[in-house]
Amino acid sequence: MSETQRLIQVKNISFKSGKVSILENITFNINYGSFVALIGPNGAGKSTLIKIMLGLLKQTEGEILYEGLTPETVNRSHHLLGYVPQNFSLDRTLPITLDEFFRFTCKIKKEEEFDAMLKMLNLFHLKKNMMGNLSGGEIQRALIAYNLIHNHEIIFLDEPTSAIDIEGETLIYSLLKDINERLGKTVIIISHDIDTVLKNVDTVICLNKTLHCMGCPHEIISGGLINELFESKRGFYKHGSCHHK
Amino acid sequence: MGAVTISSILEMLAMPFVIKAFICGTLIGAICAWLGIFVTLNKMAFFSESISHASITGIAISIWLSFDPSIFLIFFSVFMAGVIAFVSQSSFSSKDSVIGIIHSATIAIGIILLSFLKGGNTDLSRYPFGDIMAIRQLDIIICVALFIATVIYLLIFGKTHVITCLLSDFSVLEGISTPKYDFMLMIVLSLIIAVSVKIVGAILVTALLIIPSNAAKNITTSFKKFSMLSIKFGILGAVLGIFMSVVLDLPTGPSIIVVNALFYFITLGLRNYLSFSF
Repeated sequence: MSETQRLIQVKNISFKSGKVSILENITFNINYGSFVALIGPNGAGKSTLIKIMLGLLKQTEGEILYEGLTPETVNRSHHLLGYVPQNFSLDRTLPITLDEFFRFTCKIKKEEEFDAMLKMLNLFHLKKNMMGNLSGGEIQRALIAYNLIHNHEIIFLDEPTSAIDIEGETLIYSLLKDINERLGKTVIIISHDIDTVLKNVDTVICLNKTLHCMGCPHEIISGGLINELFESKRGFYKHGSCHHK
Repeated sequence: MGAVTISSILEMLAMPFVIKAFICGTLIGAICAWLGIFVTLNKMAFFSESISHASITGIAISIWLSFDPSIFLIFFSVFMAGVIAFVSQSSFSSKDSVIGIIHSATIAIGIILLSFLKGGNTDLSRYPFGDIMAIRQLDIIICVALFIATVIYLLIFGKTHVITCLLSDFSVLEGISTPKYDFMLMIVLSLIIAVSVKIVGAILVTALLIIPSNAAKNITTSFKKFSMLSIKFGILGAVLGIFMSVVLDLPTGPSIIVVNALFYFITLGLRNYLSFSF
């Protein structure tokens, strides 16, 4: 590791809910600018881990450091961390347009840049639409736009394609790849769609309460590590069909 | 009721107590409708109901201790908001359950206290249904002061409250503490409820908070229109309600609520049967 390499450090993270252990002694580093997939069976603790990494949950043991800073410090003053939750709990009857959503939640400095961002995410034509009338994929793209307008350096996505069709899924992944490669953002995504996710990311973290393995997609696939991870549910996940069922 | 002429109506409307009622009613109608937007956004109708009903206990205590009910109620409502916030944060039960428990316990204490207060107390009989025509100079001063304070508060923090609602639990990533802002909103709401109780009564005050915003929500398609129409409904409901009360000799608080309820059902009909929205 070079001295200038910027790291997200996950050190000995454990999390218990009551007496139930959700995560045990998770340790890994992520380079800034990576496109990372966090995969594992249901109940593996993936969502819990990213909530801890975001500072939304407090770990029982261990620490998370963003270039030496805790998530709490980052959230208080740096606002580096972005999040696209699996279920965005917006009251769908609330009369608020997409444009108003951005104007409430973001500081829009230049209108031209804002419009260009919406065009890039194929949202420009929906500006005056009520948020409640948007589809699942459009909401996910709106949340990605929100993170880009905020210029969040690290964007966490919790199963962003779980409620959208294949066309929407392809669009989301091409956008994320573009955001990662062209804008240099660190993207950390939870997905059950193993086939698609492995085609797009550069790092895979396999989790099942403990850290099962970590590496580039080629290493993970060729080493048979994925099959070990999903041993009990191999047939279910092998074809990447989880979200289509 | 005798014959009502235009001149007799104008005469009635010019009476000092009616003018006071219009001033207070309009201010409270407007500010409740504005705050009501945040009650609707944050699903705080049950909290509002709880604070308003608890005010009956507050009145009973103030009479018991020989304090001025209008002033005592302000402190009591804030105290109750604090109790609900504290217990909610330190309890395993859901927030709704905690509010329900505190709501019932407070009313139960109020009923026990009332059983000790012998004879008909005019203050006590006024508060369940309100009596805007009996408001005093002190009530108007409190009403105007709280109106100004709440307007300033909403101008400063209104946008943050919308953000906490829209981003929910991940607003912390932008350095915004949702529990802190929720607590601040609870305090402001309890202050306004304490003042509004005298006007529409403890039983009906929640209606002032939730009906205008929900009526506006029925037919609007943007937040700006939703907010503006909600406040307009709040003001119009108060003015028409007081006018109806004076002309038809009806209880004022319930008249205001009936007008507001009409707005709700008319807008609901416009949306459902004529697909009207703007």
